[in-house]
Amino acid sequence: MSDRTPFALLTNGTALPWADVPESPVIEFVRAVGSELDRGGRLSSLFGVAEGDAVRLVAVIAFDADSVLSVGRSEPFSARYPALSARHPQAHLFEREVWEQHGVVPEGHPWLKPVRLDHGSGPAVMDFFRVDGREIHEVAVGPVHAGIIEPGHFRFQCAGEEVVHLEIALGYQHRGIEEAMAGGPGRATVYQMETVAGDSTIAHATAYAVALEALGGTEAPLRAQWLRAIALELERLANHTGDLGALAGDVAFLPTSSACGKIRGDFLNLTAILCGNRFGRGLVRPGGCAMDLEPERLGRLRERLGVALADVDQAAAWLWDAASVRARFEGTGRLDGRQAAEIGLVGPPARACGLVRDGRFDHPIGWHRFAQVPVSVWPDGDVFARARVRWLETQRSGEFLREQLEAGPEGDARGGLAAAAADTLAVALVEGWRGEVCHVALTDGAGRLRRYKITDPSFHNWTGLALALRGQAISDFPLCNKSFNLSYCGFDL
Amino acid sequence: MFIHDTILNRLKRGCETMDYPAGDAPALPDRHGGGLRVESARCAADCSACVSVCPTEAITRASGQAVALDLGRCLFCAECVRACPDRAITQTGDHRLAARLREDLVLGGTGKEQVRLAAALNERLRGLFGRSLKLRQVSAGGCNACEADTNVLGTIGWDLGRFGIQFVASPRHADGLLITGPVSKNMALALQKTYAAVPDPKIVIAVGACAIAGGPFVGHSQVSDGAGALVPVDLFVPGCPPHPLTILDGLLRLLDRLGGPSGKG
Amino acid sequence: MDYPAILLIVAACAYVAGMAGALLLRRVGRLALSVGFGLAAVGGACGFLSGVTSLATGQAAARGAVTFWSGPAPNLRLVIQADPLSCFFVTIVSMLGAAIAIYSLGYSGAYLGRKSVGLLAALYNALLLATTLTFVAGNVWVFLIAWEMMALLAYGLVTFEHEDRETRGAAVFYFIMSHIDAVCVMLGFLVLFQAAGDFSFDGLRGVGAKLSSGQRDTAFLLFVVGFGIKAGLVPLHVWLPVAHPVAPSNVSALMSGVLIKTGIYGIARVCFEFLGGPPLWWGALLLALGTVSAVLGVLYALMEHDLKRLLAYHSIENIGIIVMGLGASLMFVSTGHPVLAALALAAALYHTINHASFKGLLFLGAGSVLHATHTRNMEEMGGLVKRMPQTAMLFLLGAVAISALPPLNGFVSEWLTYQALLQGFGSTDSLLRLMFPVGGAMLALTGALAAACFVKAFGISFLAQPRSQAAERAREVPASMRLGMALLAIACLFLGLFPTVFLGWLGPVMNQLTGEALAGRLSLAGGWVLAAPGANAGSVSTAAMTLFGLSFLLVPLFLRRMLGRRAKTVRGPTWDCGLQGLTPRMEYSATGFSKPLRMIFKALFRPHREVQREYEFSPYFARSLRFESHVEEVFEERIYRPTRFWILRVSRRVRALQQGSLQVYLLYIFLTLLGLLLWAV
Repeated sequence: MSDRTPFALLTNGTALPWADVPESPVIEFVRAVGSELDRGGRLSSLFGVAEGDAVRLVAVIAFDADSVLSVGRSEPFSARYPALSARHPQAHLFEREVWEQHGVVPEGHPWLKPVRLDHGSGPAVMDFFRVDGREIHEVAVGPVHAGIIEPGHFRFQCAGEEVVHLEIALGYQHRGIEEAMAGGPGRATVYQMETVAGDSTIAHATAYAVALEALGGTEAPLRAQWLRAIALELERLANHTGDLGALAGDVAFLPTSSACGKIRGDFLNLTAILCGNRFGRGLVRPGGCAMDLEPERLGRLRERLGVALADVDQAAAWLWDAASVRARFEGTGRLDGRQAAEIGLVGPPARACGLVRDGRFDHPIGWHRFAQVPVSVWPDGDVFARARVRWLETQRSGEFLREQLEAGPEGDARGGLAAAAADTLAVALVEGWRGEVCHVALTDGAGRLRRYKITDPSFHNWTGLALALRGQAISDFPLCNKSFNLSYCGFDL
Repeated sequence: MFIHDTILNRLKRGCETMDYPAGDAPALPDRHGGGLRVESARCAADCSACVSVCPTEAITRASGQAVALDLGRCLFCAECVRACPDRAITQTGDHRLAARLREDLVLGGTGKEQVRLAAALNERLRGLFGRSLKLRQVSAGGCNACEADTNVLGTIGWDLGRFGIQFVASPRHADGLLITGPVSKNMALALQKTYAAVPDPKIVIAVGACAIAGGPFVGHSQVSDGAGALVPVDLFVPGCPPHPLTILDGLLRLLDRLGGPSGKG
Repeated sequence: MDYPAILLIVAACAYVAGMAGALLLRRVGRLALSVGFGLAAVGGACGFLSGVTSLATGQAAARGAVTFWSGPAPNLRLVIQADPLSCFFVTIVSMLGAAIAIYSLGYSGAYLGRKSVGLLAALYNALLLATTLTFVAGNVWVFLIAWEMMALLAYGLVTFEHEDRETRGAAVFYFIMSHIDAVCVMLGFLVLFQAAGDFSFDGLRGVGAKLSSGQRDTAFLLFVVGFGIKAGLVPLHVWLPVAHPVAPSNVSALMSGVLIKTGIYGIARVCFEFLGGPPLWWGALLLALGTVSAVLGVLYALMEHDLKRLLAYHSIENIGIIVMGLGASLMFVSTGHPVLAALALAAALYHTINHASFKGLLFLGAGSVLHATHTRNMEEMGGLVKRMPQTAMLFLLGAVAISALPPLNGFVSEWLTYQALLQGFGSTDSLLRLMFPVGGAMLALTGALAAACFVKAFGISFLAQPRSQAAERAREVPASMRLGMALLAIACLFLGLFPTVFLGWLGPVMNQLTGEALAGRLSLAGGWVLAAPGANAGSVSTAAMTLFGLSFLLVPLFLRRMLGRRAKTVRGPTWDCGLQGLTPRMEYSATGFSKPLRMIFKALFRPHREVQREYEFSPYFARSLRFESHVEEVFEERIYRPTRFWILRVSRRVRALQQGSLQVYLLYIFLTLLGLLLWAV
């Protein structure tokens, strides 16, 4: 391709030959990506592909308004390149990851620190940023946190009770998933995809399935796409209910907290009606769905869904009614829309800052091409807004499910999977309940996976949490953390 | 006004905690399948259909030997059940899967068709922990599903607190650890420190395929293939993730609290 | 024979001998140190015994004034009078002088070779002599001469480490304030002399009745300003937090413990004995000033991270409490409640000796910390409780005492103050009676804030991990230093556990000043219970509380013995969430601790914060970040700085008169002469 079009256009859930992805020298490539981002694009993924001793950078940029993705790659290079993050903060974690995985230094990167690996003093970070000042003290939390929660390390720089700076170091759950994909897919691959982030099984499994189907040039049967959409919304309902309960628990509002704890279990049991496993394991497979919803089962599902939705409605109503809850939620952990856009937030935290970004709406694949869920947005950017967006999504997912469970398409849910084409790149974006899940698959000459990049929505959003805490009281940290509810293992892979 | 609403609602709904173990256990989802049963007598002579489909290589069959299915590595995907032509491996629908010894999870030999369920702790530990067990949960690289299903045990439907079992914030307050996740190398130090911080006598419970043997990540260099590599484990609860009922059954079995005050269940 | 009086003379001789010996031997540092401070300790012990026995046996009350020397002019005499009030204060100065002298035996060792220890010892002895003389002065001359000597000697001691610019400035400031207060006191005495015609204290007694109300009020105000500056009463306190920290720690202890009490002595002597029959507003003014001092003192103390400055602000707070007691007492005298007046006065004087003991102990503790770590900044300390355990325990005792926690002495005197204030509401119909409950509420506030402040002071300085190399290398201080602190700690314990005994000794003082002995009314159950007089008053027994508490302690000890025998103790590191390890940076900082209070009292402190962020392109990733916040000193900024500014401005104008030309000066002389002649006519 000519230098004037350094990117190829692609829609979600499709593939294109590796050779057709335009390449440019890395300096130009970085500049071009920067101007795409300036034009209104959003960086969905930026990663490196090793080529011998050198590495190529690959960028997938999403244009939400146009429902299109642009993909580009750099020529192989080694040692160093000019950092994109210098002017585009949303790329900072991606470039750090490229540095850690491939060793190339992004020059001018404002925060070049490891992402996951241990360099002697614990995973990631190395030296924590220090704020100078007589009254500053540090608070180090983690990795083992006080409740039943995943491990991560938070280093606060506090002046008394106020947080001046927060640095988050993750990587404690690094299991080596991406490394294990090379040469795959193997017997264990789909199970590893389901457990990238155990509470987002459907989202990650769907992204993986769509990527492999795109590589084979096929699509799953319509009934399977319908089932996947239903399972995705059930997953969303379960997790949002759990989040509302957890937020209520953090402000000591027990009616909602105890009710939602139970109702979340009810939603998980709905998924179990569908496939036997409360988290949806074993349902989504490349090529289709392993299980189907017969009429009797569908009837049972619909009935119990109605009961659970009524319960969560009531529990949330109590939450909005209580002045003490509103007093804690409003104004806490505020992020404005400009910051959210600059750091590239996705999912409910982004929508809670007023950004209209939803993968089901912007880049629909599968059943979302035929049935829409309205995007839930709230402008304020504080904990209240994030809770409110979750509640709106609960209601809208509930309506979507009621509508879809009336009748689904005919056909078999199981489909076949064609062999993956050689030297092909496929992209699949799925709007999980935390936000955009992005899987990028690249095959080698034999049709085996050469590089598989997983970007969990938490990869974009952890920076948002670190920013939202600035200037807040440290005692509001659990509340802010729950309001984002990011995945530690999805980040760590 | 939410105050009236919540009180009326609570009065209307009554007690939502399940009767189990005083009553029957709630039914597993019908597609769940429950545990596995291996009757190696049914196996054809040189058949290894199940060995090649298992994602975690939990099934082995040395030539001339009986098939061996390690339930600790098993993800309960049921691929082997579907692959077996002789119905040697079947699903039992039983939620009871917890075992005390690692060997008890390896099925296939004679007399070992199903998992040998966990015996209770010895009398001294039962005396100390039987009515009050405080556990510190350590998430050592898990995917958050086992953590979620452990968390749900604290909600009003399951109410773990009625057995005196509670999750505490500091290992210094704890009687034992409940470990999930394959113990990634990055969490090894934290797990060791947590274990060292728990005062003696202590117990360790490994929940989930990852904590027992590494789960889907078995063999990755970034994980330690289970908690057993670092700390001695007293109870193994298989599953991916184990259904909350399985975890609860394991805990109660350990403390000899099944069947109410009289004990045995 | 008046043995106590002889003991007092022995004490004075010991001081003189110590002074002379230290000066003569000043070349041999170690010998000068031992001789000087040793004799000071002996003198202190004698003075203490003298004071206590005088009070206990009632000989103090029986004494009259003794004239040692008569000069040519009619009023020029050297008169000494050791009456009960004087003996009480002599007890305080001697107790503190002795304990600090023993402490100094070890402390001054740090100066050997660097500075003249002999000079330090000599000045110390001289200061003790001058202070004792101030208290036993029987006439205005002796009083003023001793007062001035005290100021000069204190200045000399404050500038002992004159190499430091901060010290020099502080000492000069102290010097100026001392002289302003000397001027006010002199003018006050002149007003009194005008009516009495006699400079002796005997002659001045009751002179208030002979003065017109305008003159009385003027005298009162002059004395309040003069003695107030000396005591450190808000708004005249600004020199205190500047001068006390820079002096060597043993001197700071003496200054905070004793020198500021001379102001209290002055107010007590003048208001109760000389002026007498006060109008209600005098007591109200003192109560108000005392309340404001107490609250502001502790608030500013909370904001400090310099250990000695923090203690200096606490002195202001405690002086405020003492003055509250004095003010309440004056109000009761003017409304005709002699018993309550005696109660309030007893509370004030009890707090005086209490403050001397625990503040002395705390300053000596701070001195030990300074000796071990070479820093006064709390943000650089930490972890000292393991390295200096005995000092830490003694400091803790002082902290508990100053926070007015039972069963120590601070609790007893504040309890007595509360009793006086609570009964004040019903004592008069005037609107001023509202000041009593307000005063009580403010006292409660200061008590709570003081406790918070000492949690910070002890916690940040001694606990957790050391925050600097210096703190890490700290070692326990020499035995003499610990002995000095221990003596004061014993005093705190005694004053806390046996209040009725002490109040018995205080009886003659009450009698002298208010005519009420009071002691008999204050103790029940053979002296074990302290009771306040009055229908609704309460009673408390610190000794019983302690015995009860100790007996309770037997229960867990017994349980441990029975049940814990088989358990083995395992020591492990603090739980740190599974991290690599905890670092000193993760400990709370002193300024961070007081931040919530700084926010609550924002209107007073007017804190400014400054965040400097250095970044390249994106403010999300700072290259460096600096956070500072400051607190405004209200009195410095709003009163003293503008006053200084205006004084300098006016002076510059007036300087125009200094032409430097002989002719102009001759003209001035001529004009003055002309003026005087015209006036005579």
